[in-house]
Amino acid sequence: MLFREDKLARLDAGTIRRSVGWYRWTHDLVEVTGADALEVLEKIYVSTISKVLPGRTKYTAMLDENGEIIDDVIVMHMNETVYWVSTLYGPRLIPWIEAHAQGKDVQTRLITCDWDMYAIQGPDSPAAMEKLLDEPLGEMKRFAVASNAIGGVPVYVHRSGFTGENGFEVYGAADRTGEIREKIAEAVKSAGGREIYTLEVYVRSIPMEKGFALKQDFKHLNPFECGLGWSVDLEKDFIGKEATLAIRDNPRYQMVGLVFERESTEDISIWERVYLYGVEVGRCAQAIYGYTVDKNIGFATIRAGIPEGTRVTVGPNGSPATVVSKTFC
Amino acid sequence: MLKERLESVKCFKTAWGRLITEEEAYTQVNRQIAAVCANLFQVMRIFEPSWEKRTEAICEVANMMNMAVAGTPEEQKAYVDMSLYEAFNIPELCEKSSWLGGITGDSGDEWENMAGRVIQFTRDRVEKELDTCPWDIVGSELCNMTTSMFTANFDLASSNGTENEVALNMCQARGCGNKHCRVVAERRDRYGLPKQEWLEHMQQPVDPIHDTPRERMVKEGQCLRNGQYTQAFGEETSLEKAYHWVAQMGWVWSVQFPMMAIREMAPDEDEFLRVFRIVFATAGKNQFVEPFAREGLRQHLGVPRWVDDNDGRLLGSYIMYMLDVQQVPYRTERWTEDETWICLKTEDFTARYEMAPLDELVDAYEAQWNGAAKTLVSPEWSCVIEGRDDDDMIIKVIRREDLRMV
Repeated sequence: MLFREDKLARLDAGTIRRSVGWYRWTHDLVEVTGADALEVLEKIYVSTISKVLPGRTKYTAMLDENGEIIDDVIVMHMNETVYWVSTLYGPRLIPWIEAHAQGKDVQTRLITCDWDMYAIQGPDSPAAMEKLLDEPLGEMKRFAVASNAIGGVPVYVHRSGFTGENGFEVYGAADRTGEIREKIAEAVKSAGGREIYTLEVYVRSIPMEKGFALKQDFKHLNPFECGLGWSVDLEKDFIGKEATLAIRDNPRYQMVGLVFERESTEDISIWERVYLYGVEVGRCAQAIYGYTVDKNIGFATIRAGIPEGTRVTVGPNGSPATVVSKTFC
Repeated sequence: MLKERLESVKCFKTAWGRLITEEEAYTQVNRQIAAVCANLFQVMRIFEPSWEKRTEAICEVANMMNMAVAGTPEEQKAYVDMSLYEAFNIPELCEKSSWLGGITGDSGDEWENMAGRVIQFTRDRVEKELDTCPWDIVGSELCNMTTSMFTANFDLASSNGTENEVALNMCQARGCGNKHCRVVAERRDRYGLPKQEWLEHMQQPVDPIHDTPRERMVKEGQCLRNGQYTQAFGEETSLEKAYHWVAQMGWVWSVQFPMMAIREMAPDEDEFLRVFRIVFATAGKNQFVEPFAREGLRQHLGVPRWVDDNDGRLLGSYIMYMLDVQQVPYRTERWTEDETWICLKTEDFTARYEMAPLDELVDAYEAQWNGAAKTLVSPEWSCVIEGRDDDDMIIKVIRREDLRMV
């Protein structure tokens, strides 16, 4: 929970938006290899993975048979034969892959503990990266991943992030993490930035302002109900396609943003009830303070057809909020 | 077109057929465990008049037992790694660092219907605020005891082996009459704070962050408000699972741990049991001494008008209700206006959590229900529990002359 008056959280958020900040936030990493790896990844993800060339990465979603999102991930094509999948739910992803890879030549391995990921995010991140890396970045595109080194320690650099700002992710061997961390701290400091301390700022507040959700926000939703329809390739086959087609034509819910009127939202936990004229019409996935927009904001899943601008109430004390687009700035 | 059938919700039926919802039962079990704890703490206050001595004693035991649950020091570290990874998935949250202990408490609080929020969660500081606590009737010794259990969590999550790096304070407590419970952990190195003794954990924090105003406080935990608890990173616990967890584990920390210390405060075993039974018998009599308490129970259980006020089934049905609420399986053997016999496995009653049997529950409830018989029904009636040393035991509500009624 974040509050307007939390000075440290405000400083952390401002650092990412106006300068550059760093933090360690390794997602679970699953390595997928084998001759049939691409075929299986095509089956479980909604996007066309074959278009992701070596050295490129893609944000995509995984559905169950009902067409509901059960994970959203970044698929990273590390080299011809190796994919990494960055998820928050590695131990659950592996059985899912295995269940859909019967008789296929596919191997999966949880490599989370082998790698640490540091995020370097903010408009000044390119300057920090230039100071940090042994080899110049050059014209690295968004959603590209490349080998590099920090003080001789091999790393992968991924131009991506979860902040809506220019940013990079650095993957280094976990047993060299101390050296890497020290160099990142130095480089970011010399670029005018600092370490980010408040987890909820970089996991929730900063991403939510830009419309970036966590898997839990997509609960029971299909990509066409939460603004991720662009990621779905309906030309190919994937798990949940039949249900997806039905939902695309007749969505049940919609994912929206909420702007709260009260100065704080202490009575709104995760998945709190949303009411329209006292009738429950959905759930608020989470409310948080956004320091860039200087408002209490939230994501909600509500009945399809409720337009932006509608005033609803949330939670046990009838906290008033207005339905808005889920991208706040 | 009419509905083909009514929708169904989870309930259990009282002996008289009234339905008690899962939500009601869950609320009741939390408060019931707190009531047993409150009675037990009266026993403690009789044996140990010094607040400081008794508080220190229960803190010591609760901390030791929390550490012991995780096994040897090596196993303790693995236990934390595993349980945190299971709970949070995110490797940073599994980093061995004491601040982590603060967030692990959140799920347990909500499962026990302690409604609140994590106010702040950073590398240096965790602040948790509660608006409700079913245990707020027990007393400040228990509030202190919880800090010793948190200390164990912090010790287990520590990067320094098994000694934590934080100053942990319960700065406010519902059990002390405050508006909120507020638990704050601040890293000692960051805030320049000394290591604390057991009685030094109820101080004010260096850096208070926020106080939720009354109009935005909540009255129920997430399981009751939203049907489930969801922690900040999306992991969910259903009401059903939280309820069962409380029915198993709630007794362990709030009754069994302090019981170990309180037994030691008594001069001997017989004296402990004598006072223990007196306190619970008094609690039982007081439960139904007011006519509106009896009337309220009749209504709650759905007792029909034709059941006489001097019918032992009033107490029999109350005991069955309490067993159902506590998720203890039983079988009704006799159910007449002259007697109620309720059969159950002794282990189901005493060892709610199999690893931690609590034989004293038989003494506690026998004394309490026997006391309740006198006011809920009449002094003609008694409650006795037979077969406590066997595999099966029988709770009997019977007419009995009681020449030495406690």
